[in-house]
Amino acid sequence: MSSDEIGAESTATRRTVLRAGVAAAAAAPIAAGQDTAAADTEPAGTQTGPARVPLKVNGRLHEPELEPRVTLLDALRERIGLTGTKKGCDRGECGACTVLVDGRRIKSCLTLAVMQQGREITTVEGLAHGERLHPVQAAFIGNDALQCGFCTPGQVMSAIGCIEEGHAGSDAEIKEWMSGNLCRCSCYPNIVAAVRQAARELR
Amino acid sequence: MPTTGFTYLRPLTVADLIRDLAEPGAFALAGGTDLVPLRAAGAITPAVLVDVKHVAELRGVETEGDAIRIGAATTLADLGERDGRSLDAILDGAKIVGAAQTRERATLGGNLCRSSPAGDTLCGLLVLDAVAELQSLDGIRHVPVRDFFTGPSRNVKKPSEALVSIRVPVREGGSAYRRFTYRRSMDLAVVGVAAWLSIEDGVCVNAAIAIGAVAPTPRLVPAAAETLVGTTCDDEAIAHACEHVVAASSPIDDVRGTRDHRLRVLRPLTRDTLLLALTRALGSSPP
Repeated sequence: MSSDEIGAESTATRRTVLRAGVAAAAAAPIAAGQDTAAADTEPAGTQTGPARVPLKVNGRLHEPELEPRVTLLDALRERIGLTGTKKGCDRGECGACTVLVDGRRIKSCLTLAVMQQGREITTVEGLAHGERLHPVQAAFIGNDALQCGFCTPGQVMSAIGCIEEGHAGSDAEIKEWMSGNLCRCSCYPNIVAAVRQAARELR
Repeated sequence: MPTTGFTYLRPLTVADLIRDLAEPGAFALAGGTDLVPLRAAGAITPAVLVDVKHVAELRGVETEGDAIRIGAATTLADLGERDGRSLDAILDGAKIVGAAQTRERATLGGNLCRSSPAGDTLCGLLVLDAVAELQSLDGIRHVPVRDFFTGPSRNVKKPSEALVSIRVPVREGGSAYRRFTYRRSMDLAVVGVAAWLSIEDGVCVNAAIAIGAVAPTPRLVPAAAETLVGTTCDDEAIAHACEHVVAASSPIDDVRGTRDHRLRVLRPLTRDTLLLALTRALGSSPP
């Protein structure tokens, strides 16, 4: 998010690819994707129609072919095949699609995949180390913080953000800062208990 | 695969940004929390989306002379983490938009350009006398936020203009924004009120009050503010101010509330907001 991430050297080329069509638009992201250092910068860009969009998800580079209109949520689920991130409302109200981008929680239905090129995207699939669950995942199981489980991936990702931000200091604070995640089974007391326990363990 | 949709542009400089916004059918895309679902629903049909978030000049908050400059693409989450007394009424609003995940993406400039009558940062921008800096290929112009709104979701900004920054003058006094909602979070204001009070020796020497979600645009109520000047903001003075606020409102019935309920809420909400601003004004030391 800081200005030093911006690759100013790309500005000269971006006008030349303006309206150059799919082939030219596709070439730049592929080139950036092959070079880790280049992928860390925020290149200027132009995209009309489908093109390969480099997305770093759970430490792996994916290059799905996407139109600019595709949300990050749809890119993750339907193009990359990571269906752990759930689509509830698809309009930013339920929180089931919460993922981390550069460590900050966002709703993946409210952002376009092309806007997240070069970012570190973390989904629920990226939390466990082999059989060893992330402490937040373990706390959700330990506290019986789910019934149907549909909202759980979003709850877990949001809880990680909430704890990282330092917003899990009390039950009231947890309730306030987890308010973007709805649970139709209404497991809220157990979710708060899980976040409280995980926050203690992660501190 | 159909190629319906739009061209996505990601400029890195203001010069490229305003060139991109001059394209026919261009829309500025900031956080996307409003624009992405609006576009998906067909409510807007951009030919070009210009992602403004990677232009360095549009990010961050800094003091410039006797004003605070807020880059238009500064997120509400970044703003909410600040502890700046002179921005209180804006920060009160920035902290309650949507939920944490929304505020990580949503921007102050996006909230201003969306120009919803219920926008939670807009009443704060009004009472703190903020000024929008607009740039286009035709040049730069500075528009006070009080002259910005022209109707529900409408404003004086031309599509070819980029909102680059918002400047808020540093002034003494205390400010606050409060809203009424049925749920604490993930809701839009049914009624919103912001106030700014400057107090010297216990007497109000300057004031501003703005109301949201009870008129076609967020709006200042100068008559209400004037009744407070020269008083100690006692119960009687605040009651007078509330009368003017109610008189200046023209709420409608809609999905979030009825006209009658909004009018009923407006009075106590104005009072609560004024008392919070007063507490902050009395607690603040001169800069």
